[in-house]
Amino acid sequence: MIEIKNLSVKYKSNDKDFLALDRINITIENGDICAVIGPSGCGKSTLLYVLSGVIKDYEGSVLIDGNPINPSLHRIGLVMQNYGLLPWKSVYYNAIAGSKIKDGKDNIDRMYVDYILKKLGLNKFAHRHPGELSGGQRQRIAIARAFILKPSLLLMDEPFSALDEIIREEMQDLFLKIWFENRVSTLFITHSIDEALYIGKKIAILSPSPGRVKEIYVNPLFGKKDLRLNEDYYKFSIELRKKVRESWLR
Amino acid sequence: MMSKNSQRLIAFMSVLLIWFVISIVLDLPIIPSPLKVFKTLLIIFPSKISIHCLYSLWRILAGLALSIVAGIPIGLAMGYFDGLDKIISPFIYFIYPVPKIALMPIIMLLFGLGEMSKIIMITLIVIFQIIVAARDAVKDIPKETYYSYHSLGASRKDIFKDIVIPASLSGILTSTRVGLGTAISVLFFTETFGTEYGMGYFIMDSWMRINYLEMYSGIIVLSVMGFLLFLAVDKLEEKLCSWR
Ligand SMILES: Nc1ncnc2c1ncn2[C@@H]1O[C@H](COP(=O)(O)OP(=O)(O)O)[C@@H](O)[C@H]1O
Ligand SMILES: [Mg+2]
Repeated sequence: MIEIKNLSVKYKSNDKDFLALDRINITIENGDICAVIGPSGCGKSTLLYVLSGVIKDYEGSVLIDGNPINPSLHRIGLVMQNYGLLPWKSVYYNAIAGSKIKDGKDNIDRMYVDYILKKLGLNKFAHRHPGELSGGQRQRIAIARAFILKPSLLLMDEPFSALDEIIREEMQDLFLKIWFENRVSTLFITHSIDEALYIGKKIAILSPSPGRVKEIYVNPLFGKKDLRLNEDYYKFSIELRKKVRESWLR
Repeated sequence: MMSKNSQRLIAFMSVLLIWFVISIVLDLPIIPSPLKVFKTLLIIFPSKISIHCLYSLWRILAGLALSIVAGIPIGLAMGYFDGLDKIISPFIYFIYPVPKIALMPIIMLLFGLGEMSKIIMITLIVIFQIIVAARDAVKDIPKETYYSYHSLGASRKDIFKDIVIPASLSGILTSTRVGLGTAISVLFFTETFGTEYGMGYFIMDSWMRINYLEMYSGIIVLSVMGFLLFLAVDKLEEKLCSWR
């Protein structure tokens, strides 16, 4: 279980502090996906940096199964907004980097690596460099790296926002398919209402900066097959849209 | 599009042609025809020049190797650890602009007239370029590049091996190439003192003996040596930084 309790984050600049997140409370049960939706600049990436151990200076508490967050202890799969790949390493190296650091070179589950690379359509590019590939392909490397790590917490920062509509839907489907095979606790950040509805079991709606949790919406459609064709999809999409509008405009 | 090599060849031939024309027009002994020079070069290289060439090559490579072996770790550490940078940088900035060639008399008094002082001289000049380049290359790495590795709890060793070193390699090699040019000038200067070996000595000695054909042969050998070293760094960069 991931428990975020009264989490506040300030960025310290020269003269005064900037409050980025204000007393955030979110709980993610093991094996759930929580989508976090908020307008640009409301502190979504900041939240992710706290959970991934990049930002260590915060108030409140963040616990994974009762223990304070610790990147050396926990297995945290991070898919960053700009992918966070190493351009000087091959696609394959990038994909195994997480597992290599956590488990050592000799303990990587190579079968699983091949499985994930194939599933994400990267096996043909394994020995190329990320710079030679398209944005969508780079995105998949970052996702492959996170899955190959077999994380206990998966963090994704607007992973599909840079992709074209059709490719985005394809990636969302692919992501959910692999996710359901593992059911790793996931925090999924997005600024798209449709994406939140498609991916999240719970949807935390954040206010404009400083980010506060306005509402936690339990998604009745989560896990339904062929969601986009579901007749209720439109109804709930409108309902969620209304809630988001209330939280963002004010 | 012409290949880089054929462009280089054309440039080389043009320089020879201009030289050839000037030698004919001026008709002075100080500017002999390139044809004569190359003929002399072919005859005397094995017997007379090669030993000097080897000496110079050894000094350059030793000086460069010392600068790299000592300079890169210092530069990388300064780039990565801000505290270290704050302590060392003021010294670097103070020493960097000092014309270190002027320190030669002191170096020679301290380390003698032999190989040691020549190699130290080259190192002294090249190492600062490499330290500063390595440090700046590390400072240029965007913070976000480290985030994935921080979230994995990666060790400092992993971070240096996978991020700091490969990210700064290209910048370091570029500065090595610049340092190489400097090193050759310094080499020439140091070889005019206290030695009877080296291209610098050979060129100055030919000049004293008013043997211009041999002097030009020496200049050509030194230039070609520099060019080949440049090329070697280029190839190394191509190989190590192929991801660019
Ligand atoms: N390193 C930083 N220093 C100061 N302010 C920052 C820093 N990073 C982000 N901010 C500010 O914090 C707020 C939240 O940023 P961020 O978490 O990136 O938002 P989001 O991901 O929701 O777009 C923004 O107003 C941004 O300008
Ligand atoms: Mg963001």
